[in-house]
Amino acid sequence: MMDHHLSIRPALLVWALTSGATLLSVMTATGGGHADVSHMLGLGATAVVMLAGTVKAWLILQYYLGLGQSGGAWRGLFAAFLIIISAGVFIAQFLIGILY
Amino acid sequence: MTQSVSSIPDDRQEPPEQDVPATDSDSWGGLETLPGHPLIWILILSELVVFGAFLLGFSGARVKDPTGFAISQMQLDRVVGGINTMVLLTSGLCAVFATRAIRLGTVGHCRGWLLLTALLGLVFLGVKIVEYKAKIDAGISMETNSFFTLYFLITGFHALHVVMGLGILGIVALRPLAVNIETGVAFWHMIDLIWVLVFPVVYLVR
Amino acid sequence: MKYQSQKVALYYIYGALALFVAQILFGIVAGTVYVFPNFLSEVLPFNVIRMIHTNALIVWLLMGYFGATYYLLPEECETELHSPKLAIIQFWLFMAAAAAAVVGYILGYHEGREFLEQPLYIKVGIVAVALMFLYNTTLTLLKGRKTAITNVLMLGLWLVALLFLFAFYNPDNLSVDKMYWWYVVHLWVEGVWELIMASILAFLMIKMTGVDREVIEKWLYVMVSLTLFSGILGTGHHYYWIGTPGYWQWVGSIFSTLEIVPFFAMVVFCFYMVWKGGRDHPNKAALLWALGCSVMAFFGGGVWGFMHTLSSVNYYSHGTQVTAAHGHLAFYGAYVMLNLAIFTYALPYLRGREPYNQQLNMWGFWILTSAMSFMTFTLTFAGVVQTHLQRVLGMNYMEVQDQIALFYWMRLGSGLVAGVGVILIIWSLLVAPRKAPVKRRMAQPAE
Repeated sequence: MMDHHLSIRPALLVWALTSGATLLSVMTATGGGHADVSHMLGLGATAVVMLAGTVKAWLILQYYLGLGQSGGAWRGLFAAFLIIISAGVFIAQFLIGILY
Repeated sequence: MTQSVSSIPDDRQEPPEQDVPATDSDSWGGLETLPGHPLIWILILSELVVFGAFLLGFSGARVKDPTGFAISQMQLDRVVGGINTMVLLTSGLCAVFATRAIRLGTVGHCRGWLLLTALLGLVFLGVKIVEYKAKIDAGISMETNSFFTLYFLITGFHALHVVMGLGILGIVALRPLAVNIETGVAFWHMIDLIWVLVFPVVYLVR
Repeated sequence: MKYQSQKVALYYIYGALALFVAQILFGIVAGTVYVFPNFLSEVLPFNVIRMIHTNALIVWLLMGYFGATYYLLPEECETELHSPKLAIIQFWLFMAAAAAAVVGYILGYHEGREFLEQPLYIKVGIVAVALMFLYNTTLTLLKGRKTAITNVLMLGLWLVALLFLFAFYNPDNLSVDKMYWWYVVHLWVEGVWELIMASILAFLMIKMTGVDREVIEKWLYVMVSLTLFSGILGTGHHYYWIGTPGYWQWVGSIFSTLEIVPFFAMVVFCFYMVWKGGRDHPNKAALLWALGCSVMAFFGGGVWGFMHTLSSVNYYSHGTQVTAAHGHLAFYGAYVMLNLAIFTYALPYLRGREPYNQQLNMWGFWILTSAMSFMTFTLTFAGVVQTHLQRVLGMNYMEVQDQIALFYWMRLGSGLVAGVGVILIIWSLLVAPRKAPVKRRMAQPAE
């Protein structure tokens, strides 16, 4: 159990990936500083931003919080939690698109 | 009164062990498969539900006023938010190393990594204070509009957890048993986990 | 008796049952006023009737907790009570304060602050009673064995007393006044009383199911964590419309929704323990009350609370009969049934006889529980109609009251049936004759 805590490489890799995902999502949302930041994000950009957040959360759960070692039921529960948050964002984007 | 009728079952004695199979006395209904003390996971799960509800509420409130939310969101500094995310992620990495150190039995290293974890937590709080101060200086408060009510509530609650997390890290550093370290670090990772979800929903999506 | 001093609990149980009767009587009278508005209006105004109905409830529940604590603490701590004499003095002081308050209310002496109507000297008396109680029980705990049950119970009781101190703070600003006002009974029922409830249920489960203490204590810690996590900020659902800042609508809605979780955990806990224990405890009535308590608390506190806890719903429903429906079933399910469970369990031991006449007690359980459920449904329907007519269509208050008169009739009927249930229960607990101990069934032998 908890073998991953004893190896440095996966931890560093998770850190690099999550940091990269953060950069990617900020770049996407701000258009590298060029986009009109008051304009609504398109579906693609929203997907990139939310996917970056969800992947970060999943990596933290899996490797830092030790979910990788626990049962599938726990992984399913946390996956459902992450999906619900993203679903909320996408439903909001969709509704705003058709209502306004 | 003093004489109980002999036929009353004497359940006032502890039941003998063999009454119930003792096999599951270590069981916490699955919580024991997660790192740290099982009760910290009751807290972590509760926190996730609360922050999840706040984030869903945020998306819902945004549907009612997308323009207002987009304009208000422009007052936030996305780059600073991104930097703060990386600060927290780095602090989470240090927390992993602290757990690793205690598993290898090196208390000194463990404490060192915990200190680094906490220092980065303090940096995160410092940046938060700068952000809040900028809002307050611009005349923005919790009552300005529903975007800022939720912004201050969500990030404020989160910052409060960073403060509590610092306290917990301090306590487990004083009693560095493996289970204590894992418990404190699990709480710290939860703070990290919540922030990586708060950041895109509140700062980025519009 | 295992410990002599446990029998001081008898005073409290008798006192609680007496006030229970008073509470029900005044409830029936209040229900009558709803259908005959001028009933007793010259002698006993409605506000006084309601005051006695609600105050007697709170006081008898507290008295029940005192009794339950005096009963279970020596057994858990494995030592005699620090001072049985002090406990008896405390009882008479409490009873005198309660009686003085009731007589005072009838004669028109009260402070008029809803639910905290007690005149100052009564409030001081209550604090004195609480101090005597805490002194006595805390010293008992300190000299004896400390278990999860005793610790959680004592934490709950200490917090009950500390939170009551807010009853003395009465600021001029009405919003601030209301803000602290909710600290008293609502941080009790949504927070620290649940600690008392969980620990008493845990005690009953250890005694009646025979499941390992270790297992039960884990559940207790989980239930306590969930309660405190959700209940403290969940009380914010009272801060929607009293002039407190708007963020309370978010905080209150989210945290109070979670308050259903600890209640659900208590249901799972009780049923799982009984299933797991598989012991055939002879006091079936006590087990029925304990299981029923968890279920009705879940419905009354959890489900009926959630129904109107979201601020967007509560905007329309606050202050209607929906609130009354929730209040009745929540108090009954969580705290009345809890007390009746521990009374039903403890009285056979305290009075040194078999858990006799369980049939009557269980009939009382079903009649009272059905009556309270029916009352809750009628008030819920009344509240829904009222919300729609008054808050959506904008009809005026008294016109709406006419429209829902039928529900008030049905509520009075269910109140009368509840009265019958209470008589049966009290009869079975106190009066019914001793039966010849022939066809009893023992607990499973422990070999």
